[in-house]
Amino acid sequence: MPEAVYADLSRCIGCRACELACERENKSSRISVKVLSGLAAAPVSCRQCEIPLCTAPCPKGALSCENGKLEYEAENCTGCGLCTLACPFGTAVLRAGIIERCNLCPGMETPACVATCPAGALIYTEPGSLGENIRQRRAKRMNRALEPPAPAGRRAE
Amino acid sequence: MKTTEKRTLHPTICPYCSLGCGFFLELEEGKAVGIRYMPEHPVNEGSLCPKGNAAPDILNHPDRLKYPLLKTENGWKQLEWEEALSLAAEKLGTARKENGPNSLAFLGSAKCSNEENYLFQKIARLLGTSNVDNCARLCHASTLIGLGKTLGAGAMTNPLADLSNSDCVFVIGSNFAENHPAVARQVLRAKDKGAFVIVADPRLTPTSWLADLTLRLKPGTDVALLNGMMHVIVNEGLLDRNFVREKTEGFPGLEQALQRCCPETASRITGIPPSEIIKAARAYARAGAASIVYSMGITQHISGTDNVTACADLALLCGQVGRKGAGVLPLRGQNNVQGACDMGALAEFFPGYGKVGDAEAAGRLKTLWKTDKLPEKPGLTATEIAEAAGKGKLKALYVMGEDLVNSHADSSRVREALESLDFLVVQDIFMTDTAEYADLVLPAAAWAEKEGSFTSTERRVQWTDRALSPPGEAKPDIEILLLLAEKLGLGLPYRTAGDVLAEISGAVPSYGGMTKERLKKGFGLIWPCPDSSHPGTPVLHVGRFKTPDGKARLIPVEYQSPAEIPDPDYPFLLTTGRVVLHYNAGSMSRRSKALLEKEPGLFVEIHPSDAKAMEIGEGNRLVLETRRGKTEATARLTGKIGPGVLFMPFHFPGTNVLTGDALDREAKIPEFKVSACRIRRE
Amino acid sequence: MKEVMVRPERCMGCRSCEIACAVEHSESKSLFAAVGESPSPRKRIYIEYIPEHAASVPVTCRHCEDAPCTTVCPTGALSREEISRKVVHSPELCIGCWTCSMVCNYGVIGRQKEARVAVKCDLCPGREVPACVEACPTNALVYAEVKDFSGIKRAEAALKLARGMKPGSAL
Repeated sequence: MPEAVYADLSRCIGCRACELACERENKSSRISVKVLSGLAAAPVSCRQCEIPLCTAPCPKGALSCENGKLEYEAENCTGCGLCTLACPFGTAVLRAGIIERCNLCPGMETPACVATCPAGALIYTEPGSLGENIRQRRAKRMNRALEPPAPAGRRAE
Repeated sequence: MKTTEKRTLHPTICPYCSLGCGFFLELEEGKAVGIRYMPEHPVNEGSLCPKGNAAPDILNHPDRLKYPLLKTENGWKQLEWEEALSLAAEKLGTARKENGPNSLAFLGSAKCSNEENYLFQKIARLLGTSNVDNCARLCHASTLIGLGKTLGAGAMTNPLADLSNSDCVFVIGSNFAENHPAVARQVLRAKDKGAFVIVADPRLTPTSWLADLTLRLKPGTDVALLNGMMHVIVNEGLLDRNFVREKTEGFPGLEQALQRCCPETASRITGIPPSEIIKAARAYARAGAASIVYSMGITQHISGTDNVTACADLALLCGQVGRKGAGVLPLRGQNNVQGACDMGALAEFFPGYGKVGDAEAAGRLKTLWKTDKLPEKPGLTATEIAEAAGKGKLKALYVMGEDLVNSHADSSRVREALESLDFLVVQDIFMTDTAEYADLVLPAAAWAEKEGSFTSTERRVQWTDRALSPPGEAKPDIEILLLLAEKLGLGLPYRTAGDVLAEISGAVPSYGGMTKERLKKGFGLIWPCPDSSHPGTPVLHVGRFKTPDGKARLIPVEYQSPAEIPDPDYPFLLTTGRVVLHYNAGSMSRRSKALLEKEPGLFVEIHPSDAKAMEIGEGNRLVLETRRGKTEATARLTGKIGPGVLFMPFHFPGTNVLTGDALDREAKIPEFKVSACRIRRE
Repeated sequence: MKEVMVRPERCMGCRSCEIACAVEHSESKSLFAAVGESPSPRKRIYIEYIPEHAASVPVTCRHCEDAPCTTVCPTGALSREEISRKVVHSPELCIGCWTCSMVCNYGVIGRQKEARVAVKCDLCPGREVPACVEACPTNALVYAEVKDFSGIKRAEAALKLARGMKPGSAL
């Protein structure tokens, strides 16, 4: 199953460490954190779609997808920019004539953005396992709601 | 960027904040080229905040000071080390001879190692003055005093990782999500286990994002909130009676003082609804294990010591100290601010917190240092040093790694003070705004260019080795100090940082069992570590407190309003703080291109309703004015602060032109957090 | 609209609902045949076991009124049916970007591994009562409208109160 960088949005503190880490490793950042008007912050990077829209218009096959794994070969990129039109997330960026996109930091065990995330909000995982942690936390919360409140003056040991 | 054969990895500790995060510096041909993460490190577990990620930028920076520089009429003149140090020694010697030792002052650096700070204060004290201090005065001096008198030790009680064992985390005056980001992962871990997180802060910050309950109090009203919570706890019988009876003293006094502090009164002062104060009090007191996390929102007030005392009282009242997951956690500022204090780079403390003026403490030190004379009176604190210089009482000042022009309150006065000195030496890695005032500038090595030990906020002492050479002729601070001591004729018997540490272990009891070899193994040791077989003490105050009789003190404190409150002339309340992308006075972070690009300049946050009334739009240039000076900043409209309140980060020159120098009476910390201010459009 | 309401205090963690769900969404709709099917049938309801409380809690799609998953879906594969108010998923539009899974507050968007698309609760179209509810032996799952669900709980609470009163206890 292909792995990708996902975000637990309930944890992102908007510190932008991922941007700096990516910038250091890849010269330019392929992840960007948008802090919304309230406090919510959302890191956006290539979603490594399993049925990607960006591959279809690519004239030279620089972007391709096999078995749900998105591949990119920069030498085949003509810089036509059609993929930037197709990508719904704006994560394929035309820079210096070719496309730059997240390549999950080949050669590193975990992509730099995930390794650096202080809050543990970025996760490098298989898409199927994404809900597990949230479900478990939700279940705990529902279960806790059923507990009788502690009586005044007593502390649960 | 891949690790190739040419590249080597070098373990090191982040030079920015006090968490002591570990990472590997990637080196190629003697240059820092990248970072590798260190998932096995117990504090950050491999993660790094944006500043940590940009740390190598400092090492290779073209602005680094490379040669000793002397100020002449025709600008800076490059000197040889020999010449520079002779000059420094001569000038210090002359001032001492002509005006007495107390005409000298020394500002140590919480960015330098334990060994360097130890040496620094030793030189000052051997010269006969206790006018030696460090920037802890500006961030956590109130913690030293406040926790010292209640718990018996002015330091974090539990390690950071222990936060994940808390059932309730009460955060007051700390925005750790921006300022100590790696703490967030521990708090989130606690939340995963079901912990209740309370955040008390006048602003809505990224830390509030993690909260189950946010208390938006008016700036400077922390004591009222804490007293209100304690009133509820005592009234509803939520206190831990056994703990209070067996482990503390002073409960009757506190109980009586709390009578007047009902939640309604607290609500009137703080602006928080009484129901929320009650909710917070119940959640904290009922939790199996609860932690208080605080930071400069508590300490940087004229009531700083009182704020800290109230935090300690709350913890003691509920028995939430000295256990797993229960403690009081002040998050400190600089990477070695805990260490600089432990080493006695403080006007009123010798190494190991023996009071200056205490004959026994002086006696011990005299034997160790083989001297018969030590200063008998506490010296001038960092804030008082600037003041005394302005009044002409100081002749010479030696500053090691501190940009007081930007970090001290009321910076126009600091500038005047520096100008009136006869002789100013600044030892730093960059030409800071303070160094511009110096007569002599000495180029120092940055963190990875020297060896030494650093003490993080959780009392973890870690050793870092030299990874690369300093640029040009820059030297490690320790070498500079040793050469200077030689010129001063002090004859200090060390060659390396390891030698100094050996003496430290004799001078500071809690470092007794620390040697270079032990610190290098694993991830350092957590003090107190009194002897060579002691494994270190992650949790303080287990069983007994660090007071002489082993009992903690409950000390009632009363709310007092900030020194300067808004009035018709200055209708806004200005508060200051930090943002995630920059660090303190900014001399390092503003030199990182990646960081500066993302947060390029000084801004001021203003509530949209105030902005509307004054016809201020997003991005307008504003002139801010207080009784001390004025500065310009870009407006940012946000509902994250309350109406009538302004917020500015203090990483850029300008902010501290505005802040006031009203001092906490015990800790002498300036009230950075509250100033009355007026604004107009440019 | 009727939804699958959960009464965690009644759940004993037997996972009958999970099995019934997978079978209902299989080709053959028979437990024995479903096991060998390809694509393998996927459940859309999850029993979460909480070890420290020895408790089980069923978690399933809440068909939120203002559903985050429908807001973020870039292709409109997730949408709300105007009449039934159900949050529905059209696999043919799904691109497997998993943004929905990142924003779902319940973690109930799963993955169909052969087709590489999302799967979620569809409230069993064509069935009177969803399969999970029908399979639940303890009535921990209730198929009801929110307002009726409160009514059911109210009636039970009243019954409990009444049990505490004995004849003759009127003052």
